[in-house]
Amino acid sequence: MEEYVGELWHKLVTRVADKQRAEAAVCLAEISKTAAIFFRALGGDAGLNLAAAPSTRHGARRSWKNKLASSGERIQLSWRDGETLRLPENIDLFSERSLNRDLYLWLVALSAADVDDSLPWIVRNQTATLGNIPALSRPIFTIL
Amino acid sequence: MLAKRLVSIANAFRALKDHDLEEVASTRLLVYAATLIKDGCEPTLACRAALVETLTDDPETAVALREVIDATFGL
Repeated sequence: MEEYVGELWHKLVTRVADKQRAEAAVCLAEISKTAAIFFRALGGDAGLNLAAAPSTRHGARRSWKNKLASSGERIQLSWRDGETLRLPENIDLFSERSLNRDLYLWLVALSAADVDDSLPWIVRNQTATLGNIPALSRPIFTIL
Repeated sequence: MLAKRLVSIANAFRALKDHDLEEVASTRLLVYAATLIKDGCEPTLACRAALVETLTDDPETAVALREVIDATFGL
């Protein structure tokens, strides 16, 4: 009985804490081919594989709901090394599916550019996307 | 400006040669796209008709190429 109630409590509190939008979520598997081609078309290294990023502990402050549910401690970041471009396994940040898809493409555009590492992250971000593909700024950047 | 965008699309597509596309956007195809646009066709539609449809019949590749076009024209 105690275990049953514990499971129910865990499900309830996790659902409240995690703002998951399952109906709007886009997973990497369904966009991986498009993302890989988009990456190469924007000048990304054609030899890189595309894979899901592992979860890493972010260390940022969490909401009281996340603390209560012991969730939200980890996040999947987009990054690349010499062999692989890693993107989140799924994105459900926005309530509209098209926006979550656009965010994937934004991350791909960000990864495709070769930008000076010594610059601040926000400048690197803007140079890699708005600088290289100015037309991205009007629709996606404004909406996201 | 339009010519620059068409060249940008062509360069992007040419980066896909031997990986995702067997043939890349030739100058002739770019001229076809430009002609369609000059005759009043909406630029992204013209590029889809003249470039994407002629270069691939794979649906996912076509989607990616359309994304490149949309990103170039700011849609």
